[in-house]
Amino acid sequence: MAETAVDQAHDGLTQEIMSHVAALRRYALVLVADAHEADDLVQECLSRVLGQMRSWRPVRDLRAYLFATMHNVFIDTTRKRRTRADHVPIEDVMATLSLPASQTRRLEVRDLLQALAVLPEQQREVVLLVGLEGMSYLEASRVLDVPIGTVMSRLSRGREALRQLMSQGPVARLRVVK
Amino acid sequence: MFAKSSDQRITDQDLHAFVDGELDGRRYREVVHHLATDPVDAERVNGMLRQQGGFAFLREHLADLEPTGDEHALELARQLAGKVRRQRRVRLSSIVSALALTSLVGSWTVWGPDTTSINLLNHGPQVLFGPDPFGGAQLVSSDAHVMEEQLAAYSVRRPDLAPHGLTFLGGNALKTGHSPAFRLVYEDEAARRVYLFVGTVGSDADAALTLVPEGHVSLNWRRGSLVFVLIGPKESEQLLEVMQSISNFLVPVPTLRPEAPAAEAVTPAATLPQDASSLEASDPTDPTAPMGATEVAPSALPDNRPKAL
Repeated sequence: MAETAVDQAHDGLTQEIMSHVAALRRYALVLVADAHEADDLVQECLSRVLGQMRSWRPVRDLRAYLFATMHNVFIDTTRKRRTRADHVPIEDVMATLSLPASQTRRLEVRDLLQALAVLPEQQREVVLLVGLEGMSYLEASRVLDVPIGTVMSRLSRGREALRQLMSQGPVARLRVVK
Repeated sequence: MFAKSSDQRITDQDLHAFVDGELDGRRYREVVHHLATDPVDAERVNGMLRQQGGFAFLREHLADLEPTGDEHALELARQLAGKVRRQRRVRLSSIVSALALTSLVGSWTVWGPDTTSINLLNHGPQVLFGPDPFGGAQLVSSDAHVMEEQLAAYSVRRPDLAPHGLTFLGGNALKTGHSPAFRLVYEDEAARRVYLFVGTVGSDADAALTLVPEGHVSLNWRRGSLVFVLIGPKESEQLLEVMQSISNFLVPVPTLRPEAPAAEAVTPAATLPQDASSLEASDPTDPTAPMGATEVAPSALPDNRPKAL
């Protein structure tokens, strides 16, 4: 009986986690601008979360918890990546997104993605959590484990940087050293 | 959320909070009033809203790529998780595998066909799993349950071929064949690609049509109901080693002893054997046992499967 209850709890948790997988992928894809790397991030994130299922204690906000785990994985990955100094073409992410034929919008999104890619990671995370994922400042602060004031200041700087970058026109053939 | 006295001037963060809907009613009205009288800040807010519009557009089109359309992969993962979970000793590992499979297959399906990488990969070798295309055999039903049943006894992990100098590039589920299958792509240190196809076969559908580019070789083997095709440059000296490594990543789930159900019910979850060495002593006649070199030699395959063109 106890086993069944545990199974049901795990079923429910697994289903709930799976309902957030798409958002995790979306966030990871734009965050790292590389589909394969984003895939690895999501997998590592899920592995970490599911590895704790046996001793799982309910969390107040599962979405924030998953994104916080993703943030930690991203930080860990970034540290490793810095030692490798791979060159990743930022244009690849545009090919990853099958955008429709609206040329103006497509160019805007291209510029947005390119500008995002050159933002400092801390600002990029905040801008994406709030802008792309629609999180409140409080949720973003929980995900990133920083005060709300820090979220606001990073958001402010990030958006301003984005505005300046995009006002300079297309960042053609921009490459980011990750 | 951010309530300030009305005598405070409107700050930069007020404008951001306004755009993000984080202001309470009074402060919101103050900002609206301020924007009506300050065209510079009004233009800044317009710029922020345009950015938000860009994000909304991005989110909308990324939503199109979400895996909701790929019910096959999701259902497969759910069923796989459910079936293997009943084997309590491997319950935890099974759930991880199921979700990993979701990520593995689902995400590649989501991103795969439209990515630059996969588009490039589509110019590579192709494998069509299914009935012998030259035999005129009746197509078998090969919906999700086929792969689910055939994978239920395995814990699937993505082969890490880094020890062989192969870097994982990506992969995707294949929908063009008659049976469920997926493709993994690696690259060696000389930027040459190595392709691994994994598919399932039915009882009367045991061929894999393999199209191999010039200068490549195809190693084909079958294990139980799963068919593997490894395609790499013919100069590669380690394809057989790679083949054996791949086998180690398809770990048979230990079956429970039927005569001891009571003990099973109370046995805590155990981990799967994680390395091949722990399986080396298994029965060589067991179809789920790890393959030895003699088992995987392409020459040991029947002439009629799989076919390489």
